[in-house]
Amino acid sequence: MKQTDLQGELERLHPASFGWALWCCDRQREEAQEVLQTAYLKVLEGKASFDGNSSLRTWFFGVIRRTAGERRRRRWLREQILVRWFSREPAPLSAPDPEAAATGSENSRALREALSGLPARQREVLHLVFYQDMTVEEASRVLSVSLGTARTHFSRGKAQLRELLARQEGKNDWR
Amino acid sequence: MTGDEKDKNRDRDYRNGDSQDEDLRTRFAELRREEELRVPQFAFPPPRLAGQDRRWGTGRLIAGAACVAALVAAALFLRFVPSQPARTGQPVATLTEWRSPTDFLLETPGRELLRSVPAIGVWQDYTGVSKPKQKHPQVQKQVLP
Repeated sequence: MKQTDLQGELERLHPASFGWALWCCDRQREEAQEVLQTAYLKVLEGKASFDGNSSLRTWFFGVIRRTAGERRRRRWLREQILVRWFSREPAPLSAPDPEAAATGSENSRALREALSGLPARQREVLHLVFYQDMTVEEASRVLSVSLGTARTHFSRGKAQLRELLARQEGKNDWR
Repeated sequence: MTGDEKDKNRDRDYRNGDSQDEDLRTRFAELRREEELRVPQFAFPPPRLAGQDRRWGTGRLIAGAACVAALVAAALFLRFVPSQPARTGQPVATLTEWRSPTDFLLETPGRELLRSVPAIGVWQDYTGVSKPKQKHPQVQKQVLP
């Protein structure tokens, strides 16, 4: 794929990519921007190259997820070093997007809260299927797991999410 | 129906077929709409990170130069510093001849007692105390005729 074509495709995917990066970074907006820019840079420098085995979206979402994981590990390591060697508290990451939390609708807020109570893998599958409108198979490719595993996470995640949402609604009714 | 088709159908079921999922789908769609309003502008190539990368490049260059300088300094040091101490004309004391400066502290009174076998009938002053003077002359027994 030519550089200009790739750029066009990435631009088209940008909103969805940012949404996915946001979820990969525990909804921390600044961190998501950094992750997305690093992923773009990887593509630009050829460190991540599209081989055409899957769709561009599936491939690029995988790149974003790996990049977020790398940054998370690096940050963890840096925090360990800072704490152990210098006994200094590392700078904490910003809170998960306070503006979005304040401006979102009641439904969205409830959904975000419920999702934060799910295991990471289940949350990721649900996000890819419902938010990004992917099939479970595509989600399994992004997450580098087997289709069966993705289906299991999907089913369990849905059940647990419903339970959490119902619990929240019950709490709100009681208030 | 082949296995692939079955899989596809099942996948479609997972994706769309379950009518109970509509509530979740609606919630997620609402969330997506809200979040799409706040997406940052697309920038390709990312200008800030590109700058950061250049800074990292400079940093690496400086680190590399520092490493090379340290290696050269180490090589020069090893080249000019002799590996063995220079020999002088004075003979060096061997290990058996050497005595510690505080060796005298080990010289305790009565030490000879442990080193030598005492002879019967011979007075040896192991304690360093002088032999007591005989106050009374010994009386020789007289043999009666």
